[in-house]
Amino acid sequence: MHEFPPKSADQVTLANWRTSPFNRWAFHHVREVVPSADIPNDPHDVWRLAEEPVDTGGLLIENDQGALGLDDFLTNTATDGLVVLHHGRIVIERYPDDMPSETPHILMSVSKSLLGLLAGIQIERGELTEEALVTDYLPELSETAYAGATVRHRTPGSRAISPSISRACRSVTAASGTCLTSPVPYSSASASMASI
Amino acid sequence: MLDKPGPVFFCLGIHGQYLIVHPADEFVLAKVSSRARALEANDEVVTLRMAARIREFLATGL
Repeated sequence: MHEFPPKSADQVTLANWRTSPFNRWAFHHVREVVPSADIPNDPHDVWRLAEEPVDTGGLLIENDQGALGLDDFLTNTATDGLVVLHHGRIVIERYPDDMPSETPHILMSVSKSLLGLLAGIQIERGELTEEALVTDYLPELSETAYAGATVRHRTPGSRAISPSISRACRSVTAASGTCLTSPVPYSSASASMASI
Repeated sequence: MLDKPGPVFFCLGIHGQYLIVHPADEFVLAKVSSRARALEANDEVVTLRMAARIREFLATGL
């Protein structure tokens, strides 16, 4: 969009925000399109990752069209951002379409898997209790359908989980690993966490 | 990726959102996209192959 206001046919709306090409802009301007609540980070507690960029000149990736260099591959797969960490350092970071690196981008169902993993870690550490009510942590949900649900109800293996949510998180041959999903109450509360 | 020992976490969101973690190799890949297709098996295979290729490149430089 290069003019203001954009022509109506070019405008991103709730009717087209997931449709290409509108999703290119919409997926990192979600809060301007979808009603949502911001969860700001703590600017005084930012964990900066060390950077150690690698030269990806020799990196070729096989794809249906043959072998492509990394940047061509990313463009081909409509990538807005790619970050790779190895041994705790950022070794590759790309924003092919100039999305600013600090801009939140929608994660769709990754949010459920990610928050499920974090919840699993917190349960393991004793910082979150599976038997506790969701409303013990988020009292503002007491007037919603989440009233009475426990934290455990929001994780897989329970009657409250939907198959689509379970499918969204796939733990590959996780002999000892666990892959919890779905604190839906949280996902309904954040811009980058709209559910599918 | 899949030929390596240990669990791999593969988190998937429609329209090309991915978080892939291989703890044993301290490898993390996050990809966000605005793909036209919401969900198609081949897209996920291509992405897993990309992750495996990048992990191999980082390990060997080749």
